Amino acid sequence: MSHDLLTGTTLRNRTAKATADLSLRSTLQYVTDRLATSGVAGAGLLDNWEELRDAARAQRAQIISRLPEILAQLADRWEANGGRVFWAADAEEARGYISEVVSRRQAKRVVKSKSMATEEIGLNDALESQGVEVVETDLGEWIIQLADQPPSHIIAPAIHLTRDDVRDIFNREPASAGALSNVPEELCAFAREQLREKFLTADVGISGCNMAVAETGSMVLVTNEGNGRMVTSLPPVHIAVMGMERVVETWEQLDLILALLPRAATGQDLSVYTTQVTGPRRPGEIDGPEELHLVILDNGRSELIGGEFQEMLNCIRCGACLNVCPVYRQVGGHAYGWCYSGPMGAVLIPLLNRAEEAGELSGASTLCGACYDACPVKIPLQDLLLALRRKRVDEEATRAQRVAWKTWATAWSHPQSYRASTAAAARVGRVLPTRLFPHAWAAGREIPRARTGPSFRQRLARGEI
Amino acid sequence: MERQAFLEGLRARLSGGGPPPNLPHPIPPASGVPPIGHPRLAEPPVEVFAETAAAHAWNLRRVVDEADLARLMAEVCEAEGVRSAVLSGEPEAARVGPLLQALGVEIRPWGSPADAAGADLGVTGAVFGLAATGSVAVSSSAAGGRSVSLLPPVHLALVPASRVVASASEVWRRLPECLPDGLPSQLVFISGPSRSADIEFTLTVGVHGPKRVWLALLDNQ
Repeated sequence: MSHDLLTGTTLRNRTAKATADLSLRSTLQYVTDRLATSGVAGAGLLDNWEELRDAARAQRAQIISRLPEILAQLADRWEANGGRVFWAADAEEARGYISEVVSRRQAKRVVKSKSMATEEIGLNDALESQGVEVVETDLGEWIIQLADQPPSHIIAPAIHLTRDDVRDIFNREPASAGALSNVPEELCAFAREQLREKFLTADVGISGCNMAVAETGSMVLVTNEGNGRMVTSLPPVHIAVMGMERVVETWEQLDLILALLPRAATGQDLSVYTTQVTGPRRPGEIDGPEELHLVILDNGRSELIGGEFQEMLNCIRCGACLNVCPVYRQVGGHAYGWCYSGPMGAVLIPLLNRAEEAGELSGASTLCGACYDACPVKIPLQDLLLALRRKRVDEEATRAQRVAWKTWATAWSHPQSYRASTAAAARVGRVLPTRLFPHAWAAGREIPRARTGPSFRQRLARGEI
Repeated sequence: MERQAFLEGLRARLSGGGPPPNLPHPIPPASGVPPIGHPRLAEPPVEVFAETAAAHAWNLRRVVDEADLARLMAEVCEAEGVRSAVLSGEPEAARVGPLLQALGVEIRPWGSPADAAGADLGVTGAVFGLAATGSVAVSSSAAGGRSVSLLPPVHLALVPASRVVASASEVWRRLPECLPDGLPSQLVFISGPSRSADIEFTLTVGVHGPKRVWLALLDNQ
């Protein structure tokens, strides 16, 4: 099944489905509360959280402004370390390269650690269509892979499911013999046993890239379960897929980013495994990949550079903005229609070549700014959402709408025409029906009844107020 | 796509003078990377490490002499029911081989990940201990590979106190001094046992990596 819900559905019917699902809403409320509380606690683990956020915002902005030279340095060092680099303009090129490596190695089984970049390019479907078994190994990703669902949170992809749901999904697997209970430890033990065999027999491991470090040609992966280590350690080939902005120049900058990322994401001071890969297996080492590939993915990102949405490239994918967003907390990730969700998704999805189907996502926000407060690199998400709305109106408003709004703005900019318009509205309002506009936003709303007595100004002039 | 074309495309985008300023929330000017404000940097790192590692679910024991180490091996074997072990290529790991053998544990040769996966216990040294986060740094070049600290259900790390530093910043910001031979192909900072919270955000331990982790802090070494 394609996990791209943007085609053929609208935001309104996706949110209607989510809000009608009471089990989903109670699960979401519990989990987002837990995650958001952890994020706040994580910030409190350091004495200078706010200083670090400001510094990270400035450093990320500087890195993006020098991206070509930093990426060139990364690629040079990566290759000097014995790895290969592929530059992918779009999803198709990235899929093509990975498919080619997989075919050349005559791979039958691919193990993956959680990567939103590979979700973005629809990699699993492509590999499966060439007859390769693709196994997601992050527990949450494996659950939704078995359930054939898209991720609903960028760091906790199965949080929309309850332990009963997971039990039912696992009990459909022949290996479980339908005998599992809903106790998380038991479910985890089943996953460990099933996936261990896959790790040891996989031909290719595919991971994302939390951050690459240009000065030494390295990549860093943070995971808690250890599947990231498995995928980068056991199969003979490791392919890392990196959104082109996920890079820092120096290890000092990496230190800053990794001080923020796990704390904002889950409240941890460091993830259980911070894996730093610099080149493939070396002589004298007993294990590790013989081949190491880095796919640097553009897929619409470069169009953000130099424009008002450039700061979105600072995002480090911690998920903190999702947990605090009053919209995400009600509707969950699937309502956004793609692998990204919450405020970062509402900004990013339309900008990654999906403006036509996803432009309406900028409306899925209250503009309250909770996302900005939670963001460890201080992306002003509410400003970007507002800018996206403005852009959409500029592009989509009809001539009649433009004239109407302009006339209104002009009329209400001058006292006399303002007074004239309210007097006219009072008269016209008495005869209008209460429902007038066919727009979606008018559903459930009524046009207010105009006053019948004297106006405020008239009463003020009479000394009644 | 060709590298040159990819990078030229980015350069062309950047040549326009950068993005318009965000007026409601302007970006502060970049002025270096401040130190990470870990709250206990002023305290002796080894003492902080002993506390934070225990808080991160390492079973930490302080080891002063050979007798302490022998006692610890007996404790680990007893608690975990260890019958077989694999050792990394580090001298600290080699040191415990005879102690384990004396307890009747079979030391298996480590020639592949499958060997490590089949053992009850994996023993490694550590290139660093990170006090602020209770983490143990294992290097693929020092250990001779990756799987000893990853595949057995129980991991024992032997960390000389002299290698304990205040935090990851001490390593990442001083790489040439800390790793004079350069970065290994894999350097991993391990902060406790494997864990997951993917089912209802409920903490479960040991989903892929080791389920239980032991740490011998080698004092005076």
